[in-house]
Amino acid sequence: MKIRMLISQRRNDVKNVDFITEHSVFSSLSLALSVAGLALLLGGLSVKALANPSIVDQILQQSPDLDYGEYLASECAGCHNPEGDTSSSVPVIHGLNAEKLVQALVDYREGERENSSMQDVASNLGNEEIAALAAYLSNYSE
Amino acid sequence: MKKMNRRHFNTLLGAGAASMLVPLPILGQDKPKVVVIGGGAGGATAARYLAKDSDGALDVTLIENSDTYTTCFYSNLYLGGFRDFNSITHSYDTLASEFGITVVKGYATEVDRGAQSVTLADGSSVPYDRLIVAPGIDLIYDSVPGYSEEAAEIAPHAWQGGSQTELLKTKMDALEDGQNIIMVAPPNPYRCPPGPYERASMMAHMIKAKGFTNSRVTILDVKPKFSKQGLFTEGWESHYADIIEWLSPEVHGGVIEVDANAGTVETDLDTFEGAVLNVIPGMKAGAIATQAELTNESGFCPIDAETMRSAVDENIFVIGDASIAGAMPKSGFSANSQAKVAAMTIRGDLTDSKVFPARYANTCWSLISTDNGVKVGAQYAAENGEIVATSKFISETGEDEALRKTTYEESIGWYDSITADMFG
Repeated sequence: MKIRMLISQRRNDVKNVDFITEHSVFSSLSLALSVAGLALLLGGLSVKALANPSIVDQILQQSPDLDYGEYLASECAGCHNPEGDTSSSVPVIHGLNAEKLVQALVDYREGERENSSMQDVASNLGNEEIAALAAYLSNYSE
Repeated sequence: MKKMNRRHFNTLLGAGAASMLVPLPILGQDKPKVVVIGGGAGGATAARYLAKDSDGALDVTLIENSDTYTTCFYSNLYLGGFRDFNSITHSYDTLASEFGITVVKGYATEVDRGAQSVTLADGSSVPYDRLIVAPGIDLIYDSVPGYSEEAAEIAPHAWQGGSQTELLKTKMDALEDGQNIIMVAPPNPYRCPPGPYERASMMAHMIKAKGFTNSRVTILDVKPKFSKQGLFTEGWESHYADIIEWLSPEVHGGVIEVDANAGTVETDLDTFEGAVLNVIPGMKAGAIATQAELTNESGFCPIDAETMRSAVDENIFVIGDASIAGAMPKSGFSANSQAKVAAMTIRGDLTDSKVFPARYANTCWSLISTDNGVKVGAQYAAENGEIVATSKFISETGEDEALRKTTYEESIGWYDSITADMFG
């Protein structure tokens, strides 16, 4: 039941997902970790569930190029207004923390989060690009 | 604030030394000059990114003949009654006041590529180090027999935002039950591939909303197939089965003559009569691109896929609908995306800033009926000298209502964001 709720909530916008990440033990990260833990108990069957957290960590440990991030983020601004407000149907991503940004882009890239536009965008991003984007966007100030 | 690099520092030193010898106004003229012709989706974005990202190192001038810009994208929603005219009309004030762009009101009549100078209709000239040509499209009126610029005052094309859009809206509002709308759809390549079909949807929506039961929208197409055809066909069958009729060239046999005064379109099959005629003719790059000899036999401008630089002049960039951008459709979104690549390249040329491999994107949202939005889009990159799609997506037939509503709402957020990205 809780997982069903989580799935439906994860289909909502980034803001909502942030809220879940901050306020629920059933966050996408802890869900993946607990599934991974269970998988280990069962004999290490779940490779995929382990993959995302380790990719996210790997990306967060990179030394990103902020200029590259600024250029890549110019595409984001076509839909995500850097100075938009929370009422917008396209969520504000400028100023979000790097971990959330990386997690979201990795989830879109892996097809584990819904939205055909964002899955398409993320399918063209390597780890270097995601690291650069997250670094630039998380450091963004108006 | 970006760090000042050595080249900027030397430029400033040079300017300081020069000021001892020549009158002071020369000081500000030492910055490299970038001139943008056309304040539409591409031109406004390019001017804004050049000014914003160069932190004052470039002198950016935007030449535009109108005081305001009415976007062609979303103008169908105005026709359908979902938006008002003001909400799709934008001013250049913020580009001037917040970004320091010199906005020159005027019509560019000539580019002297040798002298690197643009001449305006009033005879004044503006010199450039780099020029961005973003004039959008001009209509080839006589591509439809009987159609002309004069006829467009009676049978509007409404394929350039502004007074034509308002004229079509006025005609649609005057429609009475039993009267019909006839659309002549354009040949490829043209601005906004799904646009004619979204427009037909909005016309049908208006007819339905007025409670009319005897009015029709007939699309006389010159193409055997069109963008998002499966999605539109499904939507029309569900919502406008007795209203919209699409006729392919195989069916109507070809448009023989449009008579705007009589309100008729004669085809091989029949003569269609409409109280509203919406004739969308063929298109080519805006006149200044032809004058500057930037076009090829197609009427549009070949460019370098990695930079949007003109294939015939290294100091000139062509962006938006006037360019031949490979697999990218002509759209406001494409123009906005191409503008960022051109602006990055020009900053690299003139200020030594970093240049990265070009990435382009496009999405076209269309509204079929209330809360029933669909989209098609792709990511693009330069490969072997061509802009090619690296991935793509499209809405599916049979999607549930909730997803269609989300897609429409997404387009509203997109519109607000992209117009802010263009006009500040």
